[in-house]
Amino acid sequence: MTETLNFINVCRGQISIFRKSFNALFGRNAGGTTLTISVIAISLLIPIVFYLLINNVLVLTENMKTGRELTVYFKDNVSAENASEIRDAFSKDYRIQEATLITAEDAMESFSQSLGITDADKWLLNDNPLPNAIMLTPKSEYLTESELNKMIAEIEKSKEVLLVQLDKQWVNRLNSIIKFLNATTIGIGCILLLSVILSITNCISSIIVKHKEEIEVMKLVGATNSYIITPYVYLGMWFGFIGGAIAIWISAIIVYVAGTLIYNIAESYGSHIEIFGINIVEIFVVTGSSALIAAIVAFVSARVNIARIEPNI
Amino acid sequence: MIEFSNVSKIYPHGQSSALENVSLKIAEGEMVFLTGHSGAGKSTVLRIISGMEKVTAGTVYFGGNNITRLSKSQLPYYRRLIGMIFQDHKLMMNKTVAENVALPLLIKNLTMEEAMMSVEHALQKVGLLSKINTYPLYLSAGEQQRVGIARAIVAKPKVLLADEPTGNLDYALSQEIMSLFLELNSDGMTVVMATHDLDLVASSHKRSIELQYGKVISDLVI
Ligand SMILES: Nc1ncnc2c1ncn2[C@@H]1O[C@H](COP(=O)(O)OP(=O)(O)OP(=O)(O)O)[C@@H](O)[C@H]1O
Ligand SMILES: [Mg+2]
Repeated sequence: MTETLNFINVCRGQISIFRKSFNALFGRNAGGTTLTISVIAISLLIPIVFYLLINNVLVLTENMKTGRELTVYFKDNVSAENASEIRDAFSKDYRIQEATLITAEDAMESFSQSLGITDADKWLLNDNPLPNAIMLTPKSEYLTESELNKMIAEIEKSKEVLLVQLDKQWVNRLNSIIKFLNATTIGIGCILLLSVILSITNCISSIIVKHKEEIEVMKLVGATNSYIITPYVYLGMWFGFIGGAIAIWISAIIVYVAGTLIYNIAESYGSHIEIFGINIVEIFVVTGSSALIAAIVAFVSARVNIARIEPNI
Repeated sequence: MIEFSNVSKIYPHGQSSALENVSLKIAEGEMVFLTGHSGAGKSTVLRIISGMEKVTAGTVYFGGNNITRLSKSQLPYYRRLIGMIFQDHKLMMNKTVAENVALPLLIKNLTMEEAMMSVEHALQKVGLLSKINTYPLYLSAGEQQRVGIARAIVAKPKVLLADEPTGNLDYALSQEIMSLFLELNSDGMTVVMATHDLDLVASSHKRSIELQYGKVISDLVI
């Protein structure tokens, strides 16, 4: 019974300390707390923007990710007529949107055009070394990696086919850009985390220095270290929470402005692009982890600083 | 209540020992003055009783318990048994009188509302109930010191330790504060007070322990 009462007392005490710690953000600490919250907000905003950039690029390119076209190269003994028949068969396949025949002659033509080879040179080559081929564009719902792999395996089984190639060069390029962006985000994130830790530590220490006499008195009348530390931990929590909320808010503005801009540009090209911002779960994750990290940093900093203060007469 | 057994104290950067082989006993309900010249070791005795300093040699008992080797985590709970009063009163200037006096209860996780009864009682005792919502800055030196005393007694400690509580006060105010201590003592409180003011000691007719260069040179009731 008394234990329950005790527990309720402690809870009520904590709630009142929590409320008071919010007030500690203002008043004579206002300068330091504003600076610290700004540092936290900026430090969160930059990785959030990177994260949104990466994710938007990923979503925009998702259905292009696997490449859109399959080129089927036939063996030497497959004539242009044979290839044309096979093409007709493919155009009836339920998965294929378009099948285009590229005969060896067509291929040679465009090849020589792109290289600037004359008819005379072509004559020198006397034998056309290029195979007949068809280009397949699968329907968009079959543009997933697994469907494409299935299709490739199927086509490669047929005895006329030399090889099937998926055009994915640019996909590799995109992937390496995204990898780079990811690594950059993590790198910048680490540096910013360090600056967050330093600014919270600095702010908490300077507030503790200002309250040195008060802390001495508290120790004199028998306050435990954890009792003295608690308000600072809550203060750190507020730093993290408010900093996180501000970062999210600014990111929402950025998404809105950039989104409208991109939407309009895309519209004028007749396509439709929507930029998305941070979602509810991510909002909780960002503010929650920011509050948690800030509280931990504040705890360590307060513990170290308060242990140093001893009352004297 | 309090017992020093062959206590010596040398401060880390001190030239000589601040206390040398001091043995003394203070019974429950007693009122004791610590006197002696400046640097004699009066504050050191109080610092050791309050756990601010550890002894270099010897043993200190409080209520029968050896407090010489209190751990850092035990110290706050031990301090709650003691009320302390200082020459510079150590009040928090940005808190009201009530909040200052309530501090020893608030740190035990009581709310201000729960502390209020005891706070009013303590302020009544020192005659400052009317100033309960004032800030210490707007009080006279004597009133500030009485707030300090109210804070020291609010949690009903076993012992009051006072280091020159009248050091900043004129004669009349000193008398006033002194009679407050005597009254608290007659209520049963154990009081240990370090003071320079021998007139005050003489007029109180209480036990007086005189220190000189860290040694007890006399211990008698004047
Ligand atoms: N923190 C310290 N470090 C080193 N020496 C100290 C320290 N505190 C006190 N001393 C020395 O210990 C001796 C006793 O000091 P203490 O403060 O107990 O004297 P006191 O009797 O209270 O003097 P006063 O009447 O001036 O307050 C003095 O010689 C003093 O210089
Ligand atoms: Mg002294």
